[in-house]
Amino acid sequence: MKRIIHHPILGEMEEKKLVTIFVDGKRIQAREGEPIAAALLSAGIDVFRHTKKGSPRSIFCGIGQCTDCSMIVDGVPNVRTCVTLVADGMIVETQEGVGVANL
Amino acid sequence: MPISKIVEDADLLVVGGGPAGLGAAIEAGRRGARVLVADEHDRPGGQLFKQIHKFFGSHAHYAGSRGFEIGNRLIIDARDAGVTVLLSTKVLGIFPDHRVSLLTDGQKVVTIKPRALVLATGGGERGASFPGWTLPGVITAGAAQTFCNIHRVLPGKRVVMMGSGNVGLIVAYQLLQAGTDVIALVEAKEEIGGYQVHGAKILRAGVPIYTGHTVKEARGNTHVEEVVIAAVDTACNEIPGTEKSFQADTLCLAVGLTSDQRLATMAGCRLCFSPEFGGTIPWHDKDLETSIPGIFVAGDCAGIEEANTALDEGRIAGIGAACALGRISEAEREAATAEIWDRLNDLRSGSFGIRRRMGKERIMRSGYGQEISCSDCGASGTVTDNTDKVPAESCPDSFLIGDDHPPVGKGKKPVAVFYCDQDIPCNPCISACPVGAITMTPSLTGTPRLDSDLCTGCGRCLSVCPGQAIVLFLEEYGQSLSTLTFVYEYLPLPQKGERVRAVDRFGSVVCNAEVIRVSQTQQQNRSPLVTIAYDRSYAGRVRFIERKREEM
Ligand code: SF4
Ligand code: SF4
Ligand code: FES
Repeated sequence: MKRIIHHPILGEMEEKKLVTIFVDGKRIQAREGEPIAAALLSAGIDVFRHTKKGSPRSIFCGIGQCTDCSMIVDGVPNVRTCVTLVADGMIVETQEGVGVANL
Repeated sequence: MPISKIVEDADLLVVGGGPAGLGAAIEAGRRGARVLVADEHDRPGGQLFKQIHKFFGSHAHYAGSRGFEIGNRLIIDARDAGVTVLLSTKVLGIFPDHRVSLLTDGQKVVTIKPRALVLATGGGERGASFPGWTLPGVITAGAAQTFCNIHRVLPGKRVVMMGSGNVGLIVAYQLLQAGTDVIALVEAKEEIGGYQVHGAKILRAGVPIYTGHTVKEARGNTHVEEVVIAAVDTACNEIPGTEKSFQADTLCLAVGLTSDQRLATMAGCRLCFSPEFGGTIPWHDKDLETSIPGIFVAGDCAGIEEANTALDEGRIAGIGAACALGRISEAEREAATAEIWDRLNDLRSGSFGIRRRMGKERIMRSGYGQEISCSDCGASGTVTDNTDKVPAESCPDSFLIGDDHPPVGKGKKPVAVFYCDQDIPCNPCISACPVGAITMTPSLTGTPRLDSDLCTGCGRCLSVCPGQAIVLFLEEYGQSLSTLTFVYEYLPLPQKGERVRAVDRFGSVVCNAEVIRVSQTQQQNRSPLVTIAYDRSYAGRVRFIERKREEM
């Protein structure tokens, strides 16, 4: 998905430092201070986890209420990626079912 | 303002740093209470920072300001009132003796024992169930707004919006502003649920509104690819054979909100059911105090409404808490809340508000059996324990949108034309007019009336109007042209001299036009004014111009 660079009300997108996160082994550039989900969506990744029955999920509420966006982050499963901010070198994995701790 | 040290002996703990929580904290802080606000997000302001539109209401509600500007203002007020804000802090539980456990930074659990509590936990968006509703690409309207306006990521390129309350209409408009194509808006009722002015804005931009339709299915493999809608009858059953399909990658749900009363429930507060306020909410009295003395509620947690009502309820709760803490007397509390109550009642009048006002009166029970009426449209009813009846004839529920009139000209003089025919609680146009040409009777929910002889065509009312419901019309411009000036909040902004296509109120192209003026001043607060000239024979139909779009 596209970044919104120009905006009639918010103005130009602020320059931010870029950090690198690893999503299922793939390197992705993210803007410092943004939630993981924003980085994933702008990199075109939109399946974040699969339920126990295998059906795909992505963001739904976007503000930490629904848990649809849960992923394994730095080995911790069930992390809500819409309200967890990226950090340089962060390892993000697609979660299957309730996920497994991978610490 | 984020403060890392925990004030363990706060007088008042406010849970939630949105408009209601900040309003409560500011009022209690100003009255000398030591106030701690706990918010689970990394900045205060709640959902205000994604509200990039101008607010309705009156001056006291910062009407005409954008949501994020109000958020910034409240944060400054809270700091000045000596309020401590703990961010990234979740409330884990409330114990019977007002002890509250907090989890800070996902690390440390701290238990504090404030003497009073305000729960301003907000609300959550409802889902809707149909085949495919769990597919990636089906998101809430709030999520779309968060990603567009805060994280600056487009949630999709081709979006169908379900639900035409103010949230659906406003978010559809904001998606257009961010550069997304909104290809349809779907509403099960016969008329749109939100304000006509919001609906008119997206119609002008060319978004078709399918009233009497619902979403039947979202299809796709691992992501939404197609959205199927169908017409419904008055009982909301789908009518076979009426399906329409759209190629879309995103389906936004704007189907209502519910109060987040989980902490209130955990604390043992009595709950009640209120259809006007989104379902089950904590019961509260006129000071927003719950059935448990010392625990207050405010904002969406106390019933789904809007940011400006949340702020006022928060203020009342904060003053109530200050009184419970012994910082002010009962008489001082009465005096301080009376004015806020008047304001709230103003916001809860007119056809959109009166049911909510009656609902609140009923919940508070102070109004039980009382006759109340809407100061503007005269609708009245009795507050009972059951559903209140508001006579339909005198207080129309909503208007057919686009039900507007051609501009009336004054020859060689530009005049303002108002497309604001609904009793919404709003009046900034009046304070903006330097010559007093606009009047409204009797109060906040009247419709504006113009004395066109007084109007100088200065255009100030245009850019302050949150509904973008005012244009300037000049009937005679040269031999055969007319001009129209309107607010244009999209990018790219047309340039002077540019040839554009003029559209009618449904976004259909009417004729060619030339941009003759673009004005962008500080005072307009990011609502530039564009003036176009076009052949006078089309004067009755032209309302806007076709949006130029950036390449996706
Ligand atoms: S255009 Fe100017 S003078 Fe006319 S109504 Fe608006 S603010 Fe008043
Ligand atoms: S015309 Fe006046 S009352 Fe109507 S929406 Fe605009 S500012 Fe509010
Ligand atoms: S999208 Fe709902 S919790 Fe993240």
